[in-house]
Amino acid sequence: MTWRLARHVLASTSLLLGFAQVGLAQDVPNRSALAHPVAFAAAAGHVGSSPFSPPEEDDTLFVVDQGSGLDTGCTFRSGGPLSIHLLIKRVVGPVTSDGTLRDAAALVAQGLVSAKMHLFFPAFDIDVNGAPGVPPESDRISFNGHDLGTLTGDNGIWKLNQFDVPVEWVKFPAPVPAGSTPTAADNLIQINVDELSAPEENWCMAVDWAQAEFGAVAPIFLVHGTNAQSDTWQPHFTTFFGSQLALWSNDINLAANGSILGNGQLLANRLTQLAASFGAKKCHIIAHSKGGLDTRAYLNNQYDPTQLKVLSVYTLSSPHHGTIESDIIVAKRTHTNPESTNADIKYLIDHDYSFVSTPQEPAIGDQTTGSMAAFNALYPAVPGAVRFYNYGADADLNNNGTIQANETAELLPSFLPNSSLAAAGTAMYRALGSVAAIKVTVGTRPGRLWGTNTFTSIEVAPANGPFQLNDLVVTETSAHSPSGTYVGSRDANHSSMKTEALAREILDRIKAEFPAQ
Amino acid sequence: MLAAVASIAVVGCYVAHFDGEPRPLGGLVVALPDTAGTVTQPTLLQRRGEPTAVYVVTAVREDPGGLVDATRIDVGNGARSPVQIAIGPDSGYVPFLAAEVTGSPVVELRGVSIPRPTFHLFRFPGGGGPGIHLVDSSTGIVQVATARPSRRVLVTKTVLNSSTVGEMRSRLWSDPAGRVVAFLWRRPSGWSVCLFSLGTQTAAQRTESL
Repeated sequence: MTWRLARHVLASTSLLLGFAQVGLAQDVPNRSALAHPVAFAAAAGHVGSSPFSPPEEDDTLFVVDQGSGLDTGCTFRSGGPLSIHLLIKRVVGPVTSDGTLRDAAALVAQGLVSAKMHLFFPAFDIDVNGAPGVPPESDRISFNGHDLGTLTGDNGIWKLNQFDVPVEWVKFPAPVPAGSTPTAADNLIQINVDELSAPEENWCMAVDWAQAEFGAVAPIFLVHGTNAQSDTWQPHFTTFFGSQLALWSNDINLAANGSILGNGQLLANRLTQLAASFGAKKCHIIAHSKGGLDTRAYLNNQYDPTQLKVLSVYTLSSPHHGTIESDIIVAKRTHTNPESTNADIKYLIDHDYSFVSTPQEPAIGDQTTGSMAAFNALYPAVPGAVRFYNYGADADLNNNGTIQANETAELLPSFLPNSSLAAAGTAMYRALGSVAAIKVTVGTRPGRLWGTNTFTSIEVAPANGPFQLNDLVVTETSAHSPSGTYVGSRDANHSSMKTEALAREILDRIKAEFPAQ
Repeated sequence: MLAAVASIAVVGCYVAHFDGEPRPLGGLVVALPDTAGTVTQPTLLQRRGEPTAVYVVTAVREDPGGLVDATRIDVGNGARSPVQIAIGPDSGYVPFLAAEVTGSPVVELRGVSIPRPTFHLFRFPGGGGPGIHLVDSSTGIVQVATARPSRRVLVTKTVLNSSTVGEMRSRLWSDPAGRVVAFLWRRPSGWSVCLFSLGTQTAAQRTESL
């Protein structure tokens, strides 16, 4: 009887006896499969008969458990080659027409993608030790046409095979616009069975499932602040990230003057959309000003890490404890004939012009010191697994206690006279630095000619102990959230702190803490 | 003549506006004491196991774990009493949910809403300018109404060329079970809250309304 005939007899017999085909796959006649059946129960949760269960898919880990080339039963060369299609759904960078990365070397060099992709799969009955009189089993594997070597294992057992695939050989989805879903990239794993026995067929084998895992830095999403939209990140942050190969997006436009809780809801929806457009299930967030508060609201109310996991959040001058400027302006706008004996408060009251687009309700009300005290009491922390970092800024670059025109750059328009810029900047700086709270008192007094006039007194109550350094909108103290790690102050105002240097610092920290390995 | 009328209309768009007083339809209107000078929207809470009362905090200090002054309002009869409570995740007091988040009740305009182009010299603190931005301009009757299980109008307000509809949405809250709706607004004399009992809403109904 030839080996081939013997194999067919054994296989037929095993089927008749009701054993799993894979379990009866011993293909050398002097090792009776029937005498030593290897019958594995299918692992729970997946299709197939190996004792190895495939892991859950993630955005850098992809699994194929059914389909072409899998669960074939013990397969000889004539039944092959086994062609396994592994779909990768995560965008990691621009790709060429064949789906491979356009600039894989640069992505690897910048630490954004791992140099290798790890390929795992359980293979059955790989008789590398051969048998008397026949060559050993040699099953050659290729990935997208690139040779990876041969499988390893032994007679009648499942073994988890692992190969490292250079990331240059891997096909990834092409980037797509926000709101779209990338088309999965089809990566072909091909196994040529029992190459050394030709023209005979001595050995058979099977594969249960296949897994590919690589490292990639999660996309970075930029969240704007009050009375702003996505263009608030121009030019420095967009220039920096535009020059990097890191995945990022500032395509987030919440309600410019929306409430913190309402914007948290909007942010949850938008982040999910943006992440889906990268095929990502993890992300990092950089938030400016109130965007940091909107992010905290999202993390406390809508966050579902099983859908989208936020790895880290960086807030840039977010008023975690409110800003006294909001208190003053809300008091001014909601009361009759506001006035103050404090020169800086009076300046802010007198210069809340209608021809300047300034924060409105509900955003401004949500950023009063009292409102943020309540917010902090209700939501003191963010979910524990999220790394939470805060930056603040001090606009007084020369530390002289007043603000000059150049220190208002990017926050106030340069076409205003320097004297106006300096006066406005100094009033804001001093009010933020010295006023801890305000006392609003409504009163009446005799009119100049007749009757009575209602007036509203907005006064300091109390003053800050030490002067609070600030960026003309938010103090450094307020920029430190109750549960965040304060990583530093910048010498800049509220707008000019969004520098390329800061963007680089954050990206470097992200890559250091979440390396693409 | 036509140019003059058009000019008056354009000027009117930027000058004339009116925000009427909110008119609760039923419900319980409670003026919150000593809030004439309070710039911050009060915080509404409910004590676990006590669905018939609302706790209103008008001034929270940054004092983690500390007690804050609050006003307890009986939803049944509006009786007010001063209390001190702790607020926070483990305090036993849970915050009311923003209608903006839960989706119910809703604020609807029966009228016309046209974003009005408005000139700005510059934007603060967003930067940029001069330019044009759009300001909400609503004219008609604003209604606060329950969305599910049946529509019930709770509050109406007449507006002319108003941009306060968004602010109204942020003043609308409901307790975690969806049984009590609260609408806050500010008068010159201070803050008021209007409370509406809606009865029990099933979890399924509430989920459906999200």
